[in-house]
Amino acid sequence: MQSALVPAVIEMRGIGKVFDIGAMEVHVLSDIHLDIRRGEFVSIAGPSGCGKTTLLSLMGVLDIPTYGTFRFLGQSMSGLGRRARARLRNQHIGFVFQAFNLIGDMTVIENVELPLSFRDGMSRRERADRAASALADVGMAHRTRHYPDQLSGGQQQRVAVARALAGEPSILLADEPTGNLDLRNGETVMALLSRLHASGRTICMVTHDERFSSVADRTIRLLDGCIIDETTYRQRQREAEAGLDERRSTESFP
Amino acid sequence: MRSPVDGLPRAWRALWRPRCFLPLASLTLGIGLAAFTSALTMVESLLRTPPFVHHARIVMYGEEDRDPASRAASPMFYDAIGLPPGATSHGAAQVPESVNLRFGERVRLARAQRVDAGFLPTLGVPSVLPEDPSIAFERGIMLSHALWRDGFGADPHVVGRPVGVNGTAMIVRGVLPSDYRLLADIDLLIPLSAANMSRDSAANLIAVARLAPGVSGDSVTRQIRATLLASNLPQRPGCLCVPMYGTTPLDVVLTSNARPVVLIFFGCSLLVLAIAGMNLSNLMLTRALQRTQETCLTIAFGGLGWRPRLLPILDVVAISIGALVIGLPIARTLVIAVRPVVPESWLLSALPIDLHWRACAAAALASVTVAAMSTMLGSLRARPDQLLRMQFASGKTSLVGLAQRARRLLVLVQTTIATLLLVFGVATSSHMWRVMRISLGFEQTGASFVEINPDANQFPQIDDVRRATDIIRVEAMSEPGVDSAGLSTWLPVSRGFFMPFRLPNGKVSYLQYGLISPGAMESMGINLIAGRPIGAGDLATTPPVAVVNQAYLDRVDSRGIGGWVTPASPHGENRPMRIVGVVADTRLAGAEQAVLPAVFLPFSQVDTDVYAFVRRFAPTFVIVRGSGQEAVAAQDLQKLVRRAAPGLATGHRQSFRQLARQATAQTRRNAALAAVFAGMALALACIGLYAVQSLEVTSGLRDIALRDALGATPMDQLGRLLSRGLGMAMPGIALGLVAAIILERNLAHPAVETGSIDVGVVAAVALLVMVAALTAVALPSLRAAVVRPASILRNEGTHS
Repeated sequence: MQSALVPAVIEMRGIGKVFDIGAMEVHVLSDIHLDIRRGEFVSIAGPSGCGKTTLLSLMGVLDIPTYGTFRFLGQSMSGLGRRARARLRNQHIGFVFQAFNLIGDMTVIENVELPLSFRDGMSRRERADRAASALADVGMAHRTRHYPDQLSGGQQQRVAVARALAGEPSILLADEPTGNLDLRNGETVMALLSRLHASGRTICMVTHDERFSSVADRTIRLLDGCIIDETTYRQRQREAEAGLDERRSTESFP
Repeated sequence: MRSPVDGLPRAWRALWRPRCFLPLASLTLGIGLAAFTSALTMVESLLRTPPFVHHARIVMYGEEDRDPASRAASPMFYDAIGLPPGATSHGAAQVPESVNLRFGERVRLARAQRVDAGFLPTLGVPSVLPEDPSIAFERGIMLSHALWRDGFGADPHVVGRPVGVNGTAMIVRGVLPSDYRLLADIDLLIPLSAANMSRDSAANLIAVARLAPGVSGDSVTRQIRATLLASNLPQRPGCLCVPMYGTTPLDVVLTSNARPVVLIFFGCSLLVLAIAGMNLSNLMLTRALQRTQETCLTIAFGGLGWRPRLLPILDVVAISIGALVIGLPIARTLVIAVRPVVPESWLLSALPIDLHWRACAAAALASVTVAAMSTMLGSLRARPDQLLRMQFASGKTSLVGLAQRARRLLVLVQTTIATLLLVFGVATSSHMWRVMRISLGFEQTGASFVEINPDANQFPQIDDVRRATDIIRVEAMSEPGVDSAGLSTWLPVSRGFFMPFRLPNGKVSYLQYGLISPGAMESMGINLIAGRPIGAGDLATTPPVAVVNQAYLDRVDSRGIGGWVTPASPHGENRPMRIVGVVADTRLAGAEQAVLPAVFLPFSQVDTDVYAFVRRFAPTFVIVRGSGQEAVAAQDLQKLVRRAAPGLATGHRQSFRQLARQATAQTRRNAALAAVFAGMALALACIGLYAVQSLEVTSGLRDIALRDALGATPMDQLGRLLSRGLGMAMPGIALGLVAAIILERNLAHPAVETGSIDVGVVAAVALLVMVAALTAVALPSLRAAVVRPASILRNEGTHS
């Protein structure tokens, strides 16, 4: 459901990213044109090394594009300093990582409170309330005093999702959220993300798994740093009915 | 099977990964080694090896001196005892005096010591050149090695050459060894004959005896006291009681002053070395962790044996060599820097203090030992199968946590020690500042002096000396820029010369004694409190007068102007002198020493016999004071004396500023040494903190990147990292301060003159260590605070 009437959270025009590795330049992303609108669930798929995570880093203003125009919530990101980018991430972006990235010497509740602790003017009680609420949303309210190593992988990822949600972000960026999980836990996390999307969250997810990418409204396929294909859920449904989906997969990723 | 040699190239490459490891490890151990080696050199040079054969059997005998470890003998006592019972030989020497030495056309003021015929044989000191037995002892002199080398061009035929000593023809009898020294530097030994000996009971001789094997000093002491009780030796005024007589081993006499200070600083150097060792352990611990994966793989592939041990052994060898290369030059620089501030009385040898092969060998041994112990401490004590299970179970070993705790413990200990040493350094320095502010009682700027020796051959009568002093004073006053000039046998900062006086209560006491010419007090910049100074009108024919200091009024006789001072010398007539002036007190032996009562007499009124005695033991100084300049240039002053009194040699010109510095020399030396060791300890602790913070930050990069992703600003990150780094240092700082307060009494050794550890010192140290710790942890924290989170999180799979 991509409507021009719905405001874009992310707008990328001709974005490219080049890494200097010694004397060599590696063009990781080239000429990316992409919009993600409020309430959308977009998945990014592609083989290893195609630039998925780099694209997600650019969306999350963790990195700066080498060229092109990038607007977040209508505001240009060019020339934004580290501090301003950090503030933007804290207010508007939630991250979920493949390896959960919970801090081992913090309890579950402390991990969820962590991004809120970087906000000015938020009281300790408010932080605790919001963290508890986020944990309740992901079904982890009963494990607040536990440490990450006392949780299963699926539970850790649910805590990570709670941490991403605690700050009420404009967009949730998930990098292979099921990559370190078994099938059952992976499905649990995906169900959680679907539920969040259904409640109006904007989500962008990088995934290898075709089954999980199909949960998204729209799937963007990358190859060698370029977008080679973009399909909507309806398109995919039609193609599935016509038996074209198999062909698309083999053509896209030979 | 491959031999260990095959693994060497790879081990060599591993040594340089990371590149900073070897330089950092070598530097940290090198600093510790420099402190240890320089302190060991001091111990070796100042406490261990007097240059005399079987020195343990040599004793000094006589009555206890002002310095309790030393002894002095009066000529009467020396004659009465003769060869001490149980001794194989004995000898005596007077305190060194200045003489006019003429050889060829050259005349110089030389330091000479009168010794009797038994002195050198008792010490067991041979001549470097064969002595000529035909030269009578009374006519022969022994040159010091330095004078033979510098004054005679190390002429191998110098024995038999004629020289003039105070106008008397003498012959060079031999040359002393290059390391010969007994309590003071001298240029030559001249004969001490009965005629040279004073007739009174003043203890002005150094008497030494060589004991027969198996004879103890205590038994000799008992026999000396028994001899004294049986004799009718007249008692010296104010002091002679038999229990004060006895023997003291020469080794004790020579090392007693230096021992406490040198041992305290040697202890400090060991602490610095310990901190360096802990730093090294920390580095080795990290290295062992970095090699865990490799060790696991080696074990997994069945590569047990020499291979895992080769790399640490190579580390130990390379770090030891690196530390020696860095540490020994620093140690030598330290020794050279400390050399000028070592008091003369501490030196056992005439050779300059320098790194000895024994100290270097000890340094090499210490280097290898500390490196090996640090490697052992830093290596992870885990069984190979445990390592393997841990590595493959979770991708990392639980030893990481263990290593982190060990690192923090080492930081705690080294910060504690560094803080403790810093308290010592700051307390000593603050004491120095207090001492430097004490007024010495004389004006230091614009005045300078040279020593002269109006000897009895050139100036046989007191009138000759009076004429010479008058001419020198008038000549000096005619020099441009000179405001006042005078001669004195007394200087504001010096040990002083003491003579007996009869006190108003009838008792006799030794007081400081100075002969001065008109203009001398003004030249020395000593304030006149009341009355008048010694003037040109005070002549041999006018009533005798004296000037005293304030301490005389306070402690001897408060009558002041108009009062009378009565000498009690066995020489001369002891005519009472009327007090005509009172001058301000000046401190003699040091800024902190108590001011002693002093009596000043005019040259013109001194009795001939008294002067004959005084000039043998008290040097004479020409003092000039000029406005707008540091008095007269050295050459001008020497020319001036030569013009006034040809044949009179002059010593080196010194300014009163230099003289004043002597008053605080000991305090400044102690403060400098304490500051150097404290600085080294602090530097090493900072290196340790830096290394640990770097490791903590590097191992926590994923957390840092994550926080960045979650919206932490660089300032948030920096604040967190700095507070964690300071958190490591704070317990050590607190412990060090508490330990310093508890150990205050032990730290405040009188020999080192540590000031009190007050609130100011504690606050200053706390601030200093915190600033240093903050600086040490700031650099790695700053680097980490600006990492690119994207690049770290991209590799999260490998980081996890």
